[in-house]
Amino acid sequence: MGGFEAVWGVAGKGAWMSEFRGNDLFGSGPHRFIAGERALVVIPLWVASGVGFDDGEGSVALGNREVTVTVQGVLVASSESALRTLREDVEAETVYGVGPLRGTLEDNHGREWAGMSLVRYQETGAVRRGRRWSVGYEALFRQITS
Amino acid sequence: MLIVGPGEVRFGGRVWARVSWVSVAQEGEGVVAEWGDEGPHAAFVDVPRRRVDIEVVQEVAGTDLVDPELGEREDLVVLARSAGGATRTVRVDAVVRSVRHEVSARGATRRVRLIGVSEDGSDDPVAVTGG
Repeated sequence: MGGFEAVWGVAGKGAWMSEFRGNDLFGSGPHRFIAGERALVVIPLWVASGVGFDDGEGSVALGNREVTVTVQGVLVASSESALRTLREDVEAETVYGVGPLRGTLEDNHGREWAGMSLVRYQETGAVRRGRRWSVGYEALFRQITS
Repeated sequence: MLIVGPGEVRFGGRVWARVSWVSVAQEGEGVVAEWGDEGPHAAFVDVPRRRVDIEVVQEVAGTDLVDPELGEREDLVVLARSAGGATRTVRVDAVVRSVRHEVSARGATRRVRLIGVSEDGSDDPVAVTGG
């Protein structure tokens, strides 16, 4: 018990330093950041301009694909109610108001992505009730451009 | 947990005589191990699913035609004498999983394997009292 508490603490942030919109959503347990594809949207000129515009050479870039970041990990709590609070805190970030909630996502090592929205939070299995209450999850963040 | 030479062993209303030893083992099933992105080691490990395996080894003096039924569920009660002379009671809500007999030059034994049951899935099927 002592070693575990020493790592994460009962309240507040522990070893995991990630944030979204200034909130520590995932710090209750270990989690990993996976940066998604960074790419331009490119289409051939003959598609952009109509058939027969040229001989098929060339292309045009329309813009960047949306940046995506996936967070995989486990929420860990000392009780059923504490775990429910952790889950609800994450789920609240997916609520659509006048638009999606946007903010800066920061990983455990200080890398930041600005203007991100949490577009999907999905638990990867049932709640595990052992020494601690825990549930695995995958959270998808997207830099919605429009 | 190992009880060698228990004072008395009962399964439901029956007394199992001449028990050599009783072992109560715990096995984790569905172990959870999670890694973060800080380093190579698992940073969260838990054992949310557990199984209690009990084994009772009994000397059999001669022909024995009465075995516990597979799937039978009863309280297994073992009186364990400690070195100081105190007696502790080990009680396990258990289901019979297998019954085997072994015969050698030293004699015959019956080995009963059971699995502990928790009524609500939360309480430990093994209770130790007294002493």
